Amino acid sequence: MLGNITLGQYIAGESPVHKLNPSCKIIAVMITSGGILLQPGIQGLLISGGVVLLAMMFAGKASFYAFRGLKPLLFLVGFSFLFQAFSIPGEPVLTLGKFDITKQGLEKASLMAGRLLYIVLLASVLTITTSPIALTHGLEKILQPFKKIGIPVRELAVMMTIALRFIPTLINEADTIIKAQRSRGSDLTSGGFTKRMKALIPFIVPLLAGSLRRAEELAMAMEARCYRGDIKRTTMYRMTVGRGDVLAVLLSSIFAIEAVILRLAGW
Amino acid sequence: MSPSNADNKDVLISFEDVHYSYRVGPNEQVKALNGVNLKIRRGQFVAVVGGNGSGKSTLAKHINALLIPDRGRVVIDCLDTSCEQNIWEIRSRVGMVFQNPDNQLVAAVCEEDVAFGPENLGLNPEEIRRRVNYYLDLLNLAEYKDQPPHVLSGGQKQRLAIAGALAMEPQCLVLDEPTSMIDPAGRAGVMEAVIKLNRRMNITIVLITHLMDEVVHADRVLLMDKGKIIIDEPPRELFSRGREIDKYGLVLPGAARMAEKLQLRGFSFASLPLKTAELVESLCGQLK
Repeated sequence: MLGNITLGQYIAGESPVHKLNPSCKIIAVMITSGGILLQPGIQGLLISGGVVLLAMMFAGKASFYAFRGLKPLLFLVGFSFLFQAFSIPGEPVLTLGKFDITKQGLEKASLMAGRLLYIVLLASVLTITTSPIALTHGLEKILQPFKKIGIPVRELAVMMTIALRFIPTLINEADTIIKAQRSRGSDLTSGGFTKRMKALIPFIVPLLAGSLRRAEELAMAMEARCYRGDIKRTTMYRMTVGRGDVLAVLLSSIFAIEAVILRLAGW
Repeated sequence: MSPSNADNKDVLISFEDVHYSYRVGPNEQVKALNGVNLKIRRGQFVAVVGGNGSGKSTLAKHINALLIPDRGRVVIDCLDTSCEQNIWEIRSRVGMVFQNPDNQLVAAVCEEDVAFGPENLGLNPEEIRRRVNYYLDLLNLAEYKDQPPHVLSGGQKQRLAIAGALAMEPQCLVLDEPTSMIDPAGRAGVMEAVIKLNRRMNITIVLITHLMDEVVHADRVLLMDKGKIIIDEPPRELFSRGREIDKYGLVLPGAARMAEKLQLRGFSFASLPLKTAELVESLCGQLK
C-alpha cells in the first residue's frame, strides 16, 4: 500500500537539461525566476512565457509532467486573480452588482498569476530533470562559501543524502508494521478521532524504536568506513562546467538583465 | 612501541590478553571478552563461531578499533588500537561488513555508497571513480551502479556493503554474520565473493557466522564461549571431534550430516566430507 510512493518528481532522461551541472541548473533557475518577477507588463509576461517554454522544450518530453505540479496551485492562483481583478480601482470593464472588474485590475491579476505559474513550472522542470541526490550535491556546491562562516555545509549534505536513502527503507518498515498490527486485529481506519489516534500508538512506537536502532548501527558502519565529519573529505564528483551550463546561466542572465533594463527604463 | 621482529611482520591481527565489558547500568557490567589471545596471519581465512553472547561481535569490533580493550592490547598491522592517532589508519586497513544490509548503506545511489569510504580517506576524484567502478564490477554489481540501494535484494545489498568496505583497499575484511539476514541464494553469492577475495586478492578474512556450511571454507575456526576462545583449529579437526561439538551448540555441516546417515546405509568415507563437492566426489566413486 505504501510501495508506490516515489521520491520527488524526478524522471530520468537524456535531454540537454538533464545533463546540465546541477549547481548551474539551480543558479539558472534562480536567476530566471528573478527575471520573471521583474519583467514588466504584459509584453514581459509573454517574453517570460517564451523563456519557460524554451526551457521545457530543451528538457524534452518529461517536462510535460511539470503541468501536473500546477494542479494544487490552480485554486490559489484563481482566487487571487479574482480578488485582484475586483479590488484594484480603475476603469471598469464589467460591473457585477456593487463590484467592478477594472482594466488595471485585470492586468495586475494576470501579471501575478502568470508569474506564479511560470515560476512553479520552471521549478518543476528543475526537480523533474534533476535527481534528489544531484540536487543535494548542487546545493552543497552553491552553499560552499557559507562554510567560511561556520555552517557545516558538507555535513548537512551528508544528512540530506542519508535521509533520502532511508525514506524508502522506513516506508517499507512502516508497511510491515501496519500489516503486523492489522493481522492482530488493530484497526487504523475506523472509529472516532481519539480511537484512531490511540490506534496509531502501536504503529508509531515500533517505527520510532526501529529507526533509532538503525541510526545507531548506521553510525557505527559510517565510523568503520572512516567517516569523521568533513576532515580531509573529498568527493567522487568532479563537477564539470560544460558549454551547456555556461549557455544556460548566460541566457538566464541576459533574460534577467533585460528585465531590469526594461523596468529601469520605466515600461 | 612494540617489539617487532621478523615473525611479527607476518601477523596482521594480534590480541594480547584482551578484556572488555559493556556497561549496562550505573554499576552493572557485562563481561564480553575475558582474556582473548589471538594471532591472525596475513591472508588467512578465519571463521569465528559461538553462541549468542559468546563475544564474537565484540571481538570483531575490536579489530576495527570500534571498541578499545579495557585491559590488554589489540595490534593491527603493528598499530595499537588504543592509540588515538592510529584509529583512522587502522579503519582504512580493516574493512567491516555488518549483519543488517540495510543499516550500513549510507548513500542513496549504489556507486555513491562505494565512494563513501574513499571520499572519507581524502582520495582524488579520479582514484575514487576508478575504485568505485573496479569494486562494483568485482562484486558483479556494475549494472546497478545508478540504482538506489533499496531496489537490491538482500544478497546484493550485502555484496554492495562488501564493495564499499573494499573500496578503501583494506588488508583485512571483518564480516559480522553477513548472511544471517538474507536468503540462501543471496548467501551463496556473498560467500562466493568472500572466498574469491581471500584466494585471489589475498585479503585476510575474519568471518563471524553460525552457519557451519560457511565455516568449512575457512583455514581456521575459532570457537568462542563466555568471552574466551576455547577451540582454535582447522574446520576438519573441529568437525572430527564428533559428538563433542554438540555441547557448544554446533552441528556438522550439511554434507557431513548426510554422509553420516549414508554411512549407516553401508557407504564408507575415508574422511568425513565437509563440503558438498567433497561428498559428491566420494559418492561418485562408490556408485556404479
